Amino acid sequence: MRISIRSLLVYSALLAIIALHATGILAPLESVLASSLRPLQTTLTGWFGFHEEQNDSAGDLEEMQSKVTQLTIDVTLLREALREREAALEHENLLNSRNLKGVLATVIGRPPEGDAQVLVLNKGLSDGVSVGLPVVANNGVLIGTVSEAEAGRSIVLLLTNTGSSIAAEVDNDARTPGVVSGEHGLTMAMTLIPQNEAISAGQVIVTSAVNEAIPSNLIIGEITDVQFGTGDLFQSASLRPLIDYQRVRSVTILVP
Amino acid sequence: MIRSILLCAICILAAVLQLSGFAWLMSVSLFILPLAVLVVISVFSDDAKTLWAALATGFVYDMFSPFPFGVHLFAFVATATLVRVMFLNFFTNRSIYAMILLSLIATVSYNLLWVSAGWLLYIARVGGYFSGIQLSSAWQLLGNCIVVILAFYSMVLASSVFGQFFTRRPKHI
Repeated sequence: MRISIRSLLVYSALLAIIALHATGILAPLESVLASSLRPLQTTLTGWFGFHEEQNDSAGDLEEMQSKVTQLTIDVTLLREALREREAALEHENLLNSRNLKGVLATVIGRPPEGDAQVLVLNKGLSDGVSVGLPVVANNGVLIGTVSEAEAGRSIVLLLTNTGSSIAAEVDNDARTPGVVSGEHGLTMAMTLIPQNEAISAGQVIVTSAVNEAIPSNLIIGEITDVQFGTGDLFQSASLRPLIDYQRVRSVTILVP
Repeated sequence: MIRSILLCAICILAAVLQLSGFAWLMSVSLFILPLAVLVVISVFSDDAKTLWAALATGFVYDMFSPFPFGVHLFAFVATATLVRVMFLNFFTNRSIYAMILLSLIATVSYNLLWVSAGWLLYIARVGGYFSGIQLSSAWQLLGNCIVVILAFYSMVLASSVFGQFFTRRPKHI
């Protein structure tokens, strides 16, 4: 391949795009592109998310589709509308019951890296979202924090991500403190639990008041196993998320 | 110019389909549609158009990626360059075998490039996040081959069916 001027132009464009993104000059263009792609992403997420659920429930979807294709499309649209309505109601109830402020957001994609443990949301800086804000499922369970926010979109680092780490406590009388971090992109572990505290499987873990941006008492998960050694200063515990993060379709970003 | 824009639009659509569509069906991508599209474009188009298409794909990927901006741009453009170099210097024609081999090269190269770039930026503390390749990503070798084969035979079929409408025959034949 002889390097032509037109090819050099592309390489220059590559460097220019990275530099312009770093300085923020490219933000309006990215915002326009993200807004234009959002309807398509929402539609695709609706379609493919719906099919995933149908496959999992082992329904005879293919046969039904061949017989009543139009009916299936109607059902899909109705279910999507119903899901949106339910999500909005849950969002309202959650905020009212806990006296919190929040932004309802829809999951519009997952990055291509399978073990990334992140979700892409359709709300961003322009909606008051900023880095570090907690993200909860609409039943009030904390699922992660915003790790990146741009105009019109943001990225949530799920609690199961190895890069995630937040202060937490056991929901017991002693309010046993610890730190919850992701493990292998599959589960969570609570570490730095004082050795003299009595904790057991089945106890619920909630957020502690230590986190500045995260309200206290948001449910994180449940203890499945406790590990401690005689010479250790701290105990640790394995946690189980109470919901399947990969199936969450709409969330609430809690704003200050 | 119009053809370049059209190819970029196809790549952007493929990227969105992968990110917001197929991502829901597979916990780890069994194929990378935009990469397969890039291989097809690199075989049937020229250097500049292939690179612009790679740039558009990488841009969309980086917009929705937790990695530092530029990792996927670099990976896609570098992969497109490698595929073009391989195609022009080591393959004699646009056969199905050439496309399969190029898709294998592209898959390995793309995965190595984004992981290395992400890792380098992570240890240089530019990016606060790093993700490695999962073993099941090896299915992408097969998945991308299948997509490329389907694309190849679709094009062969389309050209045999519609080719007569676009080919001007000399009058003396």
